[in-house]
Amino acid sequence: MKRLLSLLTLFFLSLSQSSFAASIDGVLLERGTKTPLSDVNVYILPHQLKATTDENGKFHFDSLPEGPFQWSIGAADYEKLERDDEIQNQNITRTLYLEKSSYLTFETTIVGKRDKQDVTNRSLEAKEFAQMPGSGGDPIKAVQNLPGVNRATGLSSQVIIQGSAPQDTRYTIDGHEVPIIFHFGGLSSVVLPEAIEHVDYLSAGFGPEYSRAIGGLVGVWTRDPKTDRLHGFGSVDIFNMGGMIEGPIGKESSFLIGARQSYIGAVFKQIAKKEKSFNLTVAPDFKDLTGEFQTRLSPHDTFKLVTVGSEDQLGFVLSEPVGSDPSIRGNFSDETDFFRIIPEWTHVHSDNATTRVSLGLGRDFVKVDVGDDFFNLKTYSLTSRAEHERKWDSLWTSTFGIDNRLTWANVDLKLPVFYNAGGVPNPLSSGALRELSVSSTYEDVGAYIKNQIKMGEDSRWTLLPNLRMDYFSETRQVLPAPRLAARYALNEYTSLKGATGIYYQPPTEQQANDQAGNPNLVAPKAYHFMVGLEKDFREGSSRGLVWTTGPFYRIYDHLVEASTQLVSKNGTLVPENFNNSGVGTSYGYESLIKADFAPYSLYMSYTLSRSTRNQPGQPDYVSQYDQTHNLNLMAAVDLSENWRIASRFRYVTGSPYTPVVGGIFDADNDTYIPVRGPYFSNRLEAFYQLDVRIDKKWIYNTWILSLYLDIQNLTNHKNVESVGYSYDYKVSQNTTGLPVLPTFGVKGEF
Amino acid sequence: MKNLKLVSAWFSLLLLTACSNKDLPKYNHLDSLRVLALLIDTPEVNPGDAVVITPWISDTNGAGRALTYTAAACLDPGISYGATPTCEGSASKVSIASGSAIAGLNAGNLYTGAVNTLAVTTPVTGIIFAAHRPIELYNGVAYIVTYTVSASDGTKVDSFRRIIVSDPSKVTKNANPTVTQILANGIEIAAYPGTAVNLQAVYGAGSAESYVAKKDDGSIGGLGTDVGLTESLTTTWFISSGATDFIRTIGDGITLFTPDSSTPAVSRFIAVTHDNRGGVGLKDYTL
Repeated sequence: MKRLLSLLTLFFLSLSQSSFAASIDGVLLERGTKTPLSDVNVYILPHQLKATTDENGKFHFDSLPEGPFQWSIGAADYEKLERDDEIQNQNITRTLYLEKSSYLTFETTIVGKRDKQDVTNRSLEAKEFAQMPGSGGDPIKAVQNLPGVNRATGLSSQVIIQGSAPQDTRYTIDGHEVPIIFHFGGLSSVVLPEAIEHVDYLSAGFGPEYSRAIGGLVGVWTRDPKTDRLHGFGSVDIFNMGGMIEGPIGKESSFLIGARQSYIGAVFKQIAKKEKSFNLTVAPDFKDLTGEFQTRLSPHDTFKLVTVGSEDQLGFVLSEPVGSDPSIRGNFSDETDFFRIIPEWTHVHSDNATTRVSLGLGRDFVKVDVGDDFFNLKTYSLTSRAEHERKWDSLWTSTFGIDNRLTWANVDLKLPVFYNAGGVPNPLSSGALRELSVSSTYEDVGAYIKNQIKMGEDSRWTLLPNLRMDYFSETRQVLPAPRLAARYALNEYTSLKGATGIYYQPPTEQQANDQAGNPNLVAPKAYHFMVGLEKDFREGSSRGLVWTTGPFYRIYDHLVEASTQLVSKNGTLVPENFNNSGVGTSYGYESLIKADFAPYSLYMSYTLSRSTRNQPGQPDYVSQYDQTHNLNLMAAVDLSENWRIASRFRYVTGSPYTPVVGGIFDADNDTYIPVRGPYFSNRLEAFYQLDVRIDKKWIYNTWILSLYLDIQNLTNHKNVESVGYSYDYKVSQNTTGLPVLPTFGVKGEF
Repeated sequence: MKNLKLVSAWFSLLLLTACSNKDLPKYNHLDSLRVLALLIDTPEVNPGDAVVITPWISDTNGAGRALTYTAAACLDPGISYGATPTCEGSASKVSIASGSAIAGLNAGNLYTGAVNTLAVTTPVTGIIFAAHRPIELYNGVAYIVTYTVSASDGTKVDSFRRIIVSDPSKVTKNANPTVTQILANGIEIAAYPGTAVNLQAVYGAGSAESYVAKKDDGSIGGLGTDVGLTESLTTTWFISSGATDFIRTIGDGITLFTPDSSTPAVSRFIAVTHDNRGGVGLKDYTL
């Protein structure tokens, strides 16, 4: 009997086994982003079954009993998923979504060194700038929070580095020079922020890969298009709207294309309708386009093509002359366009050798009409970069590179001489009218070698002896520029660093021009010195402080200054226009603290600096860009339900300005010419501003909806941005900057 | 559309706050001591020619205080390239007057009018044209006259005027434009307007001259074009009371004058017209 019962039990069990032999094919994705989650354990309860997701997030269960069961999935940084389910058929498929604990990670700022060979390079990762208050998700605005970056006044779109002049900063996209990095007014950068991988900020002592800039460099690097599936987003805020789509093409290729269009002009047009003397003919408008294509040619070769285009335009008519300058009348238009096509080929020879070659093909177009006068600049440029990186052994890596720029420029202009000494402009009416139509070709050729040498397997020293050679056809000079950097590791989490070098930049096309400038100029030069300390108090954990600090010093020589002198040339007197009489220094101390105590984070950058200039006929004076104290404080807290609040406080010493001590009536032109006091001997009031940003995300299985409110100048503090004068310069009045400026935006992404 | 208007209003506020220089004195209001014009009988001359300069001064708020003037002449230090407009320190400086009393202003003209003239003789060819290029000789080289008016309380106004000296071979030289009338709503102004009126200048025949210039390559044409140009006349509307919507008008342009609520005992309307080559004409009314 017992044997019979056993046989019957086995029989029914076998029946049961065969009828319950169900299976599940599943995939585990991150909620909202649909990113596959790998190496995550998936449990089925109460059967105590477990599977682990593969690299595509896929998992599989066999032999499940029919009936109800419960999913149980847990992973670090994700909300635990516990969900009831039921098996009815033998084989089913399931897509499960795991929600991140927070989609608002606020890694406030600067990471360490992206390029370990350049001790001065600070990089901002894309995710870091996305939610900075006051930056509107813009990477370059986020750069302006870094130590050493001067606050640009008003709606300036320039980045001023460590007391140098704006024109001393070079802008690049994927290593290739572009004329502007911001649209007008500094409202937005010219590259779609979502297409950016990181932004490099190079200050005193930067490496040999770059030249033609004595101040520093802001380099935007595009990221590779995503290859896993189709992604996209659309966004709208009060200034512009935009969108992007990206994804794979076959197995080896991928693409990305995005665009933005502003509609701020429509708003201006409504305002301008009320102005009798002002007829807006072309609304202020900007648009940009970013496109990428990437393909793997072979296991060792990758090809990437990046296209960036940007257009800014504005036009209006002043029906009658306004203000105290009769020249300011008639048709005004301003258009700035550029595009770059950047093909890049990367070949990995071996683990120890890589070659990268890229070109930057493009055109810049600047058109300015001022009444009957005009300025048209059309420039075709070909920039070329090539780098071969060779790792000789475990201690020594060398990189050999070239960095060239060929420019074909055509300038047509009919404009009065614009004299702006001490930052105080003379009225256009008083300037000599100059007519010019020239075509020029400039060749700027550069080659460099950089080395990273660790002094021994256990040595704490790393030396970076580098050399750069440049030839500038504008000045017909061959210029050697040695640069040296060193790093000393006190321990695993603390290091000292230092860098020095010589830097040159060619005069601008206008400055070097035979007619409007001075063809005998030489290249402005700078010596850079910096030392620094880096201390990571986190010592391997994810919470804690990182502190970077140190001084910098710069010496400037042969700076190009405007000249009023008439000089003898071939027996006749001609205006000198420009000369190399400017010299100067800038020095200071920078400190950066990043604190991460999730859900709280804090960021503080502070710069104490001094920048001076000297030119003949003037006593030593502080530079226009001298800002003694520059403090940025940012704090953020990630709240539940994907809410986040962040704020930024800025305090900056007021910028120097040249007082105007009187005016001289120009009876020919019915205007007044300013009489300047000592250059930059007065200061504006200190600047301070509080910005707040609130972010909220709604996470759906296959898409995410984001909303933000960014309020600049929450306290509506009236920061003085400049000093204006009456027609005869006898009465002055402060001009204040932006009042409280709320920006509201919404974005949907899949 | 409603939202757009709201945004528009917000932007208006933004711009107003950002550009708040509305309270500065108006260019065309006559009140403090100033030079309105330095009229030259012949704005373009040959080397060695003599000219007469008639300054127009206004000191409406000065109530007849004593004024003096100082004048000098010199070679152009390069003002149009940014040099300070002064003859001080110039080796070519010629003193014309120093601390002389100004006459010609009184309550009847609201202390605004023509004052003591200046006689200036331009340098001879060898001096004025030294080291200048042939195109500059044709287009004209500037000879500078500086003119400073001082009041007893230390108030001082500096001004200067260019006398254009060109090659004698250039036969047709620039002449001053003339303003024959100021119209109020199309009729010559005769009394202080009781209501808002449109002001317009009437110019004498040939005021806007056709002209050519010599270009860098030696060819003749207008700057920016291969053909000749015609002068553009710009009129500045100086008033002692009321307000105009435009400070200046171009050509036959009209500016709306809005009178003060109470009619002043004396008021001045002065139209100063500049061609774009140094010629100046003036028409004034005392109402």
